[in-house]
Formats: sequence, C-alpha cells, structure tokens
Amino acid sequence: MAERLSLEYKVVLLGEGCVGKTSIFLRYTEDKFSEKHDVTLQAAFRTKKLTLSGKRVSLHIWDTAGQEKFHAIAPIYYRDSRGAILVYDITDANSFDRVKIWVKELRRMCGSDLVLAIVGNKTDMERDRHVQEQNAIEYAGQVGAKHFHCSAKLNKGIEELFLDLTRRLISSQGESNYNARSPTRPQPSLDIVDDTPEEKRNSCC
Amino acid sequence: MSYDEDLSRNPIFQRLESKFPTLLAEAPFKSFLFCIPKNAIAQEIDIQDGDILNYVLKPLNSSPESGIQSYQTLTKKRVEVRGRNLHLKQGFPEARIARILFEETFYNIEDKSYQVLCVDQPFEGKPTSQVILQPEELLDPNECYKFLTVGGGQNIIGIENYIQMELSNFLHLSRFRQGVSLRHMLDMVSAVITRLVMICLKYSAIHRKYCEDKSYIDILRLAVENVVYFEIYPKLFKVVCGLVSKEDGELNKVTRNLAHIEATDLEIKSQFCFNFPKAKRELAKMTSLRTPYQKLWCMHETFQILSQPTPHSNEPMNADDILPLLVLLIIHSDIACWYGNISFMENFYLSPLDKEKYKYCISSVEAAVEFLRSGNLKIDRFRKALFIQNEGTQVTQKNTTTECSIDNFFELIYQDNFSKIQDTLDSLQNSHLKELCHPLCTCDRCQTHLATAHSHRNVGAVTLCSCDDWGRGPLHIAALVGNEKVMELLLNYGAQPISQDYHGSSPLHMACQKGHIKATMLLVDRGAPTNLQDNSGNTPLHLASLYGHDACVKALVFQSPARKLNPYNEKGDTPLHIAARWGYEDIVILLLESGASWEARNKDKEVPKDCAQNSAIQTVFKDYIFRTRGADDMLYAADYSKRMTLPSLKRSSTFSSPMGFRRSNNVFRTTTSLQIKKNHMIEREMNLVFDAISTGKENLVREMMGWEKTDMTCSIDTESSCELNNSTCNGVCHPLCKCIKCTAEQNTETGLTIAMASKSGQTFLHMACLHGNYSLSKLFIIKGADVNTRTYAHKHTPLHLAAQYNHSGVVKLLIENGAEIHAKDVNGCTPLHYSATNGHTDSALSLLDNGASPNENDIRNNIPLHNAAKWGHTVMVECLLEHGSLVDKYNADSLMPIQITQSDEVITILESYQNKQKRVSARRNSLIDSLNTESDITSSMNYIPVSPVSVHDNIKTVIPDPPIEDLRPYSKSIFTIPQLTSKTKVEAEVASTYLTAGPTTSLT
Ligand SMILES: Nc1nc2c(ncn2[C@@H]2O[C@H](COP(=O)(O)OP(=O)(O)O)[C@@H](O)[C@H]2O)c(=O)[nH]1
Ligand SMILES: [Mg+2]
Repeated sequence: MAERLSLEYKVVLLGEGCVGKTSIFLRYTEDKFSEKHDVTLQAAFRTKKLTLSGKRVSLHIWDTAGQEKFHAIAPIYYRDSRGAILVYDITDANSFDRVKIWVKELRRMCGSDLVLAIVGNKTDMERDRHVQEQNAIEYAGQVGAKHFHCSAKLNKGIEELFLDLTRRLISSQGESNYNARSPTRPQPSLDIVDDTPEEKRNSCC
Repeated sequence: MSYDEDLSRNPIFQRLESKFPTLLAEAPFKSFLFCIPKNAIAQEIDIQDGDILNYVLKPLNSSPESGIQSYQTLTKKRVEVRGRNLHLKQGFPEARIARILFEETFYNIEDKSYQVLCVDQPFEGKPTSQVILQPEELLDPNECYKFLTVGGGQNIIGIENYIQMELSNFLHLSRFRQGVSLRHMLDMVSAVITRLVMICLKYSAIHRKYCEDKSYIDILRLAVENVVYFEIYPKLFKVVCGLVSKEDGELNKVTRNLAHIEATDLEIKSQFCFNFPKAKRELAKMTSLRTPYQKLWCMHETFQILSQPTPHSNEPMNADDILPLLVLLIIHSDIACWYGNISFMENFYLSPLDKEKYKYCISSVEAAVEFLRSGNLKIDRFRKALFIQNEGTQVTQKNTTTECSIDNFFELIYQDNFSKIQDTLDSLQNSHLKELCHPLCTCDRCQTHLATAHSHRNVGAVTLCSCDDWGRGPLHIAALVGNEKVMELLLNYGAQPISQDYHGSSPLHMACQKGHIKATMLLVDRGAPTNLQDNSGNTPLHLASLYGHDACVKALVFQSPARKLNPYNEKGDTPLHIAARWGYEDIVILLLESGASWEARNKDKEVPKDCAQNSAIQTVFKDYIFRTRGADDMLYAADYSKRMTLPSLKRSSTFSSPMGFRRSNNVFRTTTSLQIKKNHMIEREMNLVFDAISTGKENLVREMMGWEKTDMTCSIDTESSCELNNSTCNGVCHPLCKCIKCTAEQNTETGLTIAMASKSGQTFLHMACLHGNYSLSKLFIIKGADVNTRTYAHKHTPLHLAAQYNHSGVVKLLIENGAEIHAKDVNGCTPLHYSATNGHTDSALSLLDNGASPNENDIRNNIPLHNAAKWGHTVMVECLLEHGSLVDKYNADSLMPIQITQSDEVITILESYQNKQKRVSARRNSLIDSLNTESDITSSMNYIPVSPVSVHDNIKTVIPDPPIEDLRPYSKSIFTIPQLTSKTKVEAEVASTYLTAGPTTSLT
C-alpha cells in the first residue's frame, strides 16, 4: 500500500465464560448494513472504523472462546493485540478473580504497552452485585488499567468504553506497528500459570 | 469490506464539512446518515451545493421485520436499505442501486457520533461505469490473467506470456529447497511480485487506471500475487512445509489417534453439526489450491458453511462454538500438513485486502491445531464403547449369573485387577484340566468340551476363546489397554495371539495402534504373527506407522527380515507410504534403514516419496536413495538404456572411446616400452574395427582382421556352424586355444585377434551383437569368438546385448552356438531381464522359445516380469505370463510385479491373471482342506479356529512354492532345451547341466 489510511489496532475481549463478552461485542459492532452471508466472521471478528479528533482509526475487535479448556491457546488470539478488554460479571466474584489472572498473564506476555480496560458487565443486575465496585476500581488503578461499568442488555456504557479505549490507544504510542510481519513469530508458550510474584503488579502502575 | 479510503480527503465530504457545519453538528441528535460516493467518483461528478442534501439521509419509521429500512433524503427523496445496498426510490430521476462500500463512525468534539457511508455510485447524474472488481473474482488464476490483459480497459497482448517467462526465469534462478529460511523465501517471492507489479504499471492502460483510482493497485497486486503463486507453488509449498515438518508430524500423530472422535465428545451443539459434512467437503479442496488467497478463501468458505442457519435452529454461532468445530474438522480432514498450510497462508498472503479478516481465520485454525497438538484432548473411546456395550448386554443377560460373564471379565482386564483375573483363569483351568487333550489345547473338540462343561453350570462363563460382540477376546482387550502383565498371564494360560476380531485385528494390531510398546514386544516375542492383515489390508506395521508410534515400529522391524517390510494394504500403501504421508520422519528413516523399499507403488502409482507432504521428508528419501544408488540395479539399467539409445554413431563412440588396451589372454601381459607402443597401435586399430562393425562395413572388418575374402563366401552360406568351425579353424588346435602356436596363427598380419577385448572387456562379438549384425556375429563365432565372453565391470555376455537391443536373430544365433541362456551379469540379470526392461518382445520370444526360464532371479530377486511391469511394457508382461512367469513372485523388497508398475494396463493384466490363478488354487485348497479334516486334528498343533486368512496361511505351509500349476511351463522348458539345442556338443553339455541342476540354479 502506498499510504496508510488509518491507524489500526487489534483489540481482544477476554474473560470467563458467560460474563457477556459476546454480548458486548455484538452490541458495539452491531451493524445495520451487514450482509447476511458474512455471518460467522462477524460473529467473532469485526472491524469498526472510527474518526475522532481528526484521526482515522480501524479497530479490529476479536471475541474469544470462554471455555476453560481453550485457555492454553489464548495467546494465539491475543498476540499482536494493542488493547484488551477484560470482562467480568458484577454478580459473580469468581469472574473478577479470573480477570486478575488475565491481567497477570497479559502483562507477562504482552508487556506494559498493552492498553487494558476492565469491565464490570450486567449493571442491570445491580441488586445481585457480588464484586465490590470500590475494590474493582482500585485494582484497575493498581495494574494500570481503566475500569468501566456497562450493561450489554441495556446497551449502556459500551460506546463510552470503546471510545475511551480508542483514545488511549491513540495516545499510548500513536501508530501501531503490529502489522509489521515477522515470519518466525515465537510459538506461544502454552504453560501459563498464575504464580507471578505480587511485586510484579506494582511495576505496572 | 475491502475498499477503504480516507473520507476527509473526499471532495464531497470536504464540501459538506466546509459548507454545512451545522448539519454535521446536528447529525448526532437527528440521526442523520451521510452517503458519500467514493473518491474516484466524487472527483468526477459536478455537484451543486444544494444537491449535496440528496446525500443526507434521515431515518423514517420502518418495519424492521421485512429487513428493509427506509430513509428520506433532506430533499424528501426516498431511499431503502437492503443488506449492503441502497435502493433509490421515489423522487430520484431514476431508480438506482448503490452499494455500501464501508461504514464509518465520526465523533465530534463533544464525543457525539454520527454515521457516514461510502457508496459506489452517485445518487444523481450519470451512473458510473466504474465497476470495482471484487477480490473474489481473482480466485481463478485465469481470471487474474484476464484481468491483467484487459483490466486496464485496453487489450494488452502478450502480458501473460511475458509474466510466465519472467516466472520461469525466476524459478530457474531461485532454489527453493530444504534448509532455505522462510524469510529468505519470502523476500524472493515478494521481490518478484514487486517487480511484476512494476512492469504492469509500465503499461499505459494500467497506469492510467491506477492514476484514476489509487485503490486499483491493491487489486492489481492481488492479481499478480495469485498468478505468481500459481506458477511457483509446486516448488515453494513443500519447502515451506518442510520448515514445520516436526510440528506437522506431531499433530498428525495426535489426529490419527483421535480419528474416531465425534461431535459429542467435544461438546459441540448438535445444531452446528448439520453443516459439518458440507464444510468438510469444502475444506478437502484445500490441498489442491495453490495460492494463499485461494486457501484463505477456502478456510473462510468453510467457516461460512459451518455457520449457515440449519433447519433446526438459527441460533447464531459465536467464538465458543467455532473452535470445537474446527478441532473436529481438522481431525477428520485428510490434510497432512496443517502447520505448513498455516505458515503458507499467514506469511505468503501479501495483499492488504481483507487481511484482518483472514488473520482471524488463520488464528482460529492455528488455535485449533495448537490445541490438538498440545495433547489436551484425550477421549477414552474404548472406555465408552465398553460401557455402552455393557449396558446393552446386561439387558439380555439379566437372568443368568454374571459373575464370570465376558463383560465382567473384560472389565477386570480393563481395571488391571491382576489377582482376580488369575483366580478366574485358575478356576477355569483346574475344573476341566483332565478332560482336555492338553492343558493349553484349543482344538475344536476341547473347546466345545469346555463350553458345554461350563454351560451346565453357568452360561456366562468365559474361556480364553470367548469374545465380545466385536469378536474381541481377552487378549485383544488387554492389548488395547496395554496391560502387558495381564497379557503375559493370558498368554501363559494359553490365549492365542493369532486370533482376529471382526475387523480382522489381532491383539498385535491393537497394541500397535495404541502404541503400547511393551505389549507389542511381548506379543512379538510370543510369536504373534506380524504379517496378519486386518480387513483394510493393514498389518500391525501399517498401524504403528499410521499412528506414529516409532517405538512399536522399531519393535516390529527388529523382528522382521527386510523383505517383510513392504506389505501393502487395500490402497496399495506400504508402511513407508503411510509414514511419509503423515510426516513421521523418524519412522521413515527407521523403515528405510531397515530395508523397506522406496520403490513400491501404491494404487495411485505413487512411490513413498511422492506421498511426502514436505521437503524435509522428501530430503530424507533423496539422501537415502542417493546413498544406496550404487547398489541399485534398476536405476542403473534405466540410465544405461537411456544412454544407449542415442544415435548410432554416438553409441559406437561411447563404446570405443575409453579404450586403453588389453588382451583377454595373458600373452601380452608383460609390458615393455615396445609393448606399450604396440598396444597403442592395436587400440587404434581395434577402434577402427569397432567403428566398422557399428556401421556394418563387413568387408572392412574382414580386411582389418586380416581374413581372406574367400572365407566370406563359404562362411556366410554354410548352414551348420559346427561344420564351419571345423573347416575354417584348421590351423588352430581349438577355437579358443591360447597356446603360443595358435596365438601366432590367429595373430597373423595385423595384431588383432578375435579374442581381443577393449579395456572394458568389449569384444568384437559384443559389438556385432549390440548392433544386431547377424552376418558379422556369425562370422565372429565361426572365427572362434567365445560366445560367453563377458565385459569386465558389468559382466555382460554378447547375449545380454543382443537381447537388450532386440536383435532376435542374433539371440537365436548365439543360443544355437552355445551361449548361456541364463547368463547373469553383475546384477544377476539374465538376457531376458534386459528384454523385459526394454520391452523387446522379439528378443524375449526368441529367448523364451529357445528355453529361457522366465523365473530367473536377479540379485534383488526380481524376475523379468518385475522389470516388464516396472517399465510398463504390457505386451511383454502378457508374453512372460504366457510363458509361465510367476505372477506373485516377491523380490528382495518383498514387492510383487503388480506393486511396482505405474501402468493401469499392466495392473489389469496382472490382476486378471492373479484372479484366474486364485480360482484354480481355491479349488485346490478346498481339496486339501477336505484331506486335512480327515487326518487327525488333535495332532495338528497349529490348528487355527476361525479366520479365513489364517487358514490360508496354514495351507501355505503345506503347499510348497511354486504352486502346482506353475510347474507346467517349467517342465516344458526343461524338456525343450535339449531338443532344440542338441546340435553341438557344447550345447548338449549345457542342456544336461540344466537337467541335473534344475531350472533355478544359475549356470555360472
Ligand atoms: N442481565 C444481563 N445479562 C447479560 C448481559 N450481558 C450478557 N448477558 C447474558 O449473559 C449470558 C452470557 O453472555 P455471552 O455474551 O454469551 O457471554 P460470553 O460467554 O462471555 O461471551 C447470556 O445469556 C446473555 O444474555 C447484561 O448486561 N445483563
Ligand atoms: Mg462468547
């Protein structure tokens, strides 16, 4: 290509099964002008074109499989990502613990340049909340992520979440370079354990 | 999605921004939708400021169920959106359809958003004739060529030829081979693509197009890329695969071993299985596709098919469903180089079009492949099968005592309950020991005895011969589970390692399939037959090779002689074919080193090397073949005959040029300087004679040899060579006599004698026979040439050469004059081998009619039929068979003629002949069977109860090879030799040697 038409960023959605990743993904990329025949890829991968503050951005958003048995191959999905959205269900404390594990793994594999958003989904079920809002926000601050609340059901907070993420992506390092291809890309290491020492967390702040 | 442009540079959008800022500011609140014709059109059309409002849409209340959304322009014209198309309706001067190229969300300073659509048509005015070529249209390389030729709007003649020429140059110069790095290949390929794109852009038609529309270059690049890959794929792909051959081998091992997996094992929702067979068919195309773009498209199509709505549900598929489906697809696909394909698609798709979409495809496939290879998927099919079966049988056996039922017993084996198994076996044995012929006897009588004895007490009781619904006995189960201690116990109690289940699998098959090395070693050690074939014709070695268990292969190979390493299954595959196909490098090496044949052809006429999917495996073969080439006679013969069929002049020079000189007798052995000089002269003269022979100048030959012209008349016309011998060689004690007197006699005038040979051992007779010069050959024989003289290196007799060059008259002449009809050259080949290799039926008939046996072995145990079949000489094959050639003779690689041929016709002939023989032998077998049953059964130790295959095996030991009917032609040849050739004394001797030594013994 003679010229780059836009900044391109790959963003993955990660989190335990059933926290609402797919729902958020579909909500945001919902597209009135889609063709019927392109269903599958649209079910898990979509590109969203944005223009903000005079900059063109293409967000390539990847939904991922939540099943635990596929955890080991997650690196294949999140490699080359510039941003990651870690979703938990505010009614499920476990899902928030899972987010913490993801943060450690991502920081280890992708470094501190990765732009993180931690998202508490299902705010329409506020009554059943099992994750302390204050805790979650504090934790996000500690690991250099930004915390959001949203409800895929009510379509609340999702646009804001992606807009803010895009802003941070642009300011984090300008143009992404993940399109630079390297033929001998390292094999993703498949034995990810969540035993990183605690001090690692501080280094990310 | 593939079209993209920066709308802020689009003149219409720029006008909108500058002239209608309030419109843009209101847009988020009024849900305005802006439609902008793409840049190339916007540049062309002339729009008044007022007309711009035609391109601003406001949503109307629409009926969502119809899938149509209605809009109104700010000029009150109506627009409907269906899928990705805008239908222009009432108010517009003409109904028109504009396609949405892409959609973009704009945020204003307050972070409020509005949507902009980029479309491919202006709403008013002249519709554009510019059609954007969809990348899909470039899937077919012919379309790419067409696009390059006429896509510029002008016919560029010869661009296709030009590109092909460039590419053949490129292929000629760049070596894609094992060991070249991916980066290096990538650089080479992208350099040639860039170069070709540059060349295309030099054509003014294409350049104009590019100037009109910058996005044109993406399509151009894709077209060039496709064309390039289409041409270089055969050279490139296997090398790319070679870089990941290890991973592919590992993956294949996993997928082969999971071959029986089902959708439910992966928790795939049943509604998604509906499209699975169709997706599988789509994916099967992958192997034959050549460009990364085609392969990516094939993957993409597969995804699409999987997610099509099914009659049962149209619940949308999401990321959770895709992965398990892909895992299942990969297991069930027959693609043996997934990592190679992934690497190829990922690295070599250079076009930027839809790259992100395809990246997702590739990552998904890669994730599935990686998931499989990491071995996370383990499903105990056996356990499940056993369980289901138990449920089934319990219903029928509810009333009987089940304490010792077959299922319970199998369950014990499964659980490795050693002591309980032993108890069961003990009780079984002790109670009936006395009544049996022998404690371990499994003969019919004893078995019925055992069975009836049990049935008095307990119907469900097991014997070592009981089997389940699939015909599997206790030993099968133990082998399947890999419990070698139990197996040893069972064997000690008399279990038979030879029994086969309904699939024809023996315990050894199961141990090898599951990769239980200790079980395999135990079974082999206890005499389990290694050559039993299951219903698909697979031997245990096939299975160990298919499932990638190198330790088992090692155990089997260690026990087998090399000739047993090439059994072939239903598809004609030997274990080496299978190991090569699935990329098990270790097994390939192991088999080759153990002597498995790299020449065996399967039913698709592939040798194992052809099955290799990547250059790493191919290199293993190449290296091996290179190392062993010297020993391989067939290859030599092929090369040799190729060289020899050059035009006659050249042919003679290859024979005569490397001529240092030496006599076949010892007279001139002492070399003095004088001698050397003389030798040199003789060499020159001899060359001249050779030349004269090759051009058929008989008189010249006679002159140079110093033979009187008078000789000629009498020698040629006289019938009997015997008489001639006497009359012409008066002065010599004996034609071959080498006493000083005789040598002097022969040596008159010129220094040349009839017995002289060139440095390589070629005599004049060799030369005459090579060129099929009957009269000269006869002359040389009369002059006392030794008909059985041999060349030094290859040990060719004149008869070999005459047969090889199809001079049937000379062949007959030589035989009549005492040539050894079964003379073997350095490779053990008889003259008939040479006729067969070259398909010369005339010389072959001449040999056969004069008593040559068609069943002589060369040193690799090939009989002439092997050679004829290998080189696809149908008439020759028929001829040999008519003359009594064995059709199922194994060579040293344990290959039959039918296994090494590439010709369908030959296969048909051989098969029909085999079938004819089978019918005969079946009749005979049944006769022998009836004889066998009359004899005392109990005394036959190896009596095998059920399987037809083993019965056949058993018979084989009774009947000596070759089968009876094959002896007929043999006996014919034995008795015809003396009759035909008794004319000379020498021949009579030869014939008698024959009679005493028998047809298979070589005369030399
Ligand atoms: N009440 C409520 N339910 C939600 C919300 N988002 C998702 N869900 C439900 O949560 C379940 C799982 O959602 P899904 O998107 O498939 O989660 P994923 O496994 O993370 O992709 C579905 O039944 C959704 O309907 C939300 O914001 N509120
Ligand atoms: Mg999901």
